[in-house]
Amino acid sequence: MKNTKISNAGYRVLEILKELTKRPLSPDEMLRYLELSTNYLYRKELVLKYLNTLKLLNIDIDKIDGKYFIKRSIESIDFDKKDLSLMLFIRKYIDTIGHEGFKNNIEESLQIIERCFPKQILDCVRTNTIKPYVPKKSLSVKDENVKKFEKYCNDGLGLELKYKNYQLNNKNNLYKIVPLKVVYKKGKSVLIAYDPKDNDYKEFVLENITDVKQNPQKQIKGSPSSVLFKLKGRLAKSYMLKNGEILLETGDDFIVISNKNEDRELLIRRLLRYYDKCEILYPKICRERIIELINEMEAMYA
Amino acid sequence: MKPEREKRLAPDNNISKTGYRALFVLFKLMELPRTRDEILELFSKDPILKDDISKDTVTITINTLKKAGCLISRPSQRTLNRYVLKSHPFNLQFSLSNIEALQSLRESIVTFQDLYLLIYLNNFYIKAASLAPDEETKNLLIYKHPLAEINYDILNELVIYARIKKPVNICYDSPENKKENFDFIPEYLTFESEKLYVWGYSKKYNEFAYLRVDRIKSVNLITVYSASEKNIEFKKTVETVLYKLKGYSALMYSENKEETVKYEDKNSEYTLTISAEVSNKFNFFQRILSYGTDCLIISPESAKAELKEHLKNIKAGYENEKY
Repeated sequence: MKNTKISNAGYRVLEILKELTKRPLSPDEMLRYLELSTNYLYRKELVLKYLNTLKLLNIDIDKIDGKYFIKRSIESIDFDKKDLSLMLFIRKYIDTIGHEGFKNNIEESLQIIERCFPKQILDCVRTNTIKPYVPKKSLSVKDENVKKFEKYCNDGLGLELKYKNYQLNNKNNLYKIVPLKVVYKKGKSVLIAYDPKDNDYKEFVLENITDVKQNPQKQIKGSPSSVLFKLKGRLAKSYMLKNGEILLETGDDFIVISNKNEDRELLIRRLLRYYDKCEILYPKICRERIIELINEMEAMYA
Repeated sequence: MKPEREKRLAPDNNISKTGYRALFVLFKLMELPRTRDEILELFSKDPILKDDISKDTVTITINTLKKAGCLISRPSQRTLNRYVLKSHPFNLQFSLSNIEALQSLRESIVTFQDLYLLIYLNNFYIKAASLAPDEETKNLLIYKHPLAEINYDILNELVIYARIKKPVNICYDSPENKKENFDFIPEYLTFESEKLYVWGYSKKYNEFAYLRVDRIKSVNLITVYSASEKNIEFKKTVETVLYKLKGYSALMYSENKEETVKYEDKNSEYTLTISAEVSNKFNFFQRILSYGTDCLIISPESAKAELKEHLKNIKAGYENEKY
């Protein structure tokens, strides 16, 4: 008969180790975790005994603010000096970023990665022998108002934005939108928002937002409608789908693509770069807009 | 005074012996697959486990590890009667929001169009992918980037040959002509619209052309030339075009191999005046078209006329075609 017996104490030690790889834990939290996962009550001394066991096997455990955490992963990854230099660069880069949530998440990820570096590589930081990677051109970040917009995104309330519109001789356009997230493009912070009126996503460069008012009501983010476009000839054969695009139809010499995620005005401009090998099929408003844009461009040289 | 190890192993040191045994076996299996007898032998050499040895102990310990989430294959002829540890849940792990942030970081780096930085970052992410909580997020870290389709060996060769401007024979998977071989002298690489291109002289088409790197299937250095080929020197035709940018396009503009910002005036409507040394008109007008009304060509008149011609053709497509 198959032996399926296990050692309960051994299992509990493994469970503690598993949980410690996920988050720092105080002895009380470990106790609660064990009690919940096994339905038994234990004494606090037991947890300390288990921690001794882990330490005895050279598992690097430290304690900060009453919580134990795994200082080094039980298995290291073959990160090398180049990786270390890049990690130092990322730290330097995110230091210039004001978006707290993004910054904290990256720092947390780097801390996890750092704990998996081979010890001898990591020692290079202490001895100052590795410098942060230097890109060809320095990457500067401009995001003065980002904290305010990060909060707006977390609040999930509607916003009324005044946005500098270059097509209208720098006059302000008013938008009523649902803020979704702030991303970085070429070092500029850009708000991605849902526009219920046009039922699409829009991008707003934060430095061009001239005024903002938060509405007290919770706004529900809808599902934007798709823009369908057709690519012809060699472009149809070589086109690489962008994030969120779906290939709807493939013909002998054409493909039809659905795009939901891109700011429509930016999408229309991108599609213009495909010359006459691209045609917007749907919605009508986008077809009309591309023709209007061409007319406006032609008028500049009339 | 007792040495550190001795102190830690003193009987008054409060530990869980079965927990110790489970971790001991885990670490030994992480090193290499082992048979039951090999594990028993290791037990016999360990000061804590040596007095408590039975075949059942190994089975129970393996069962315990499995229950905790380790994937251990049963000893069989195929494994030479060894226990093989396939995976375990004791490594550190990214959360989903960590993965999302790492992807956002890469997306923001991509927009700077720094090829080498992106390559370093991708290599870093490939290694870090083992910290992903599941296969889906692991694949995101490894593959979700614009260079995913590119063969790095080919890219390396192109970088080297472009630096020394040596002619190479390229096998190119063209969307129109399928796979074709031709000679090419690479000059430089550019990263545009999330795609990587190599620019250089194509002898077959007698022009300064650009090729998508992901469509290049092989690169071979040409070492033997005919006497006439040896002295070939291609002069690329370059036309200087001056244009102005405003709005979003000006904000997001970055210089490239052929373009430099001539003036920058934050107080005027068009904040940037750019001088472009155009060696490939198709590529240049692609860029100009994508700027929409943010761009105004200043000179020469022929460039304005050519742009108008392209606009006319695009518009004609909309007038003629009905979906």
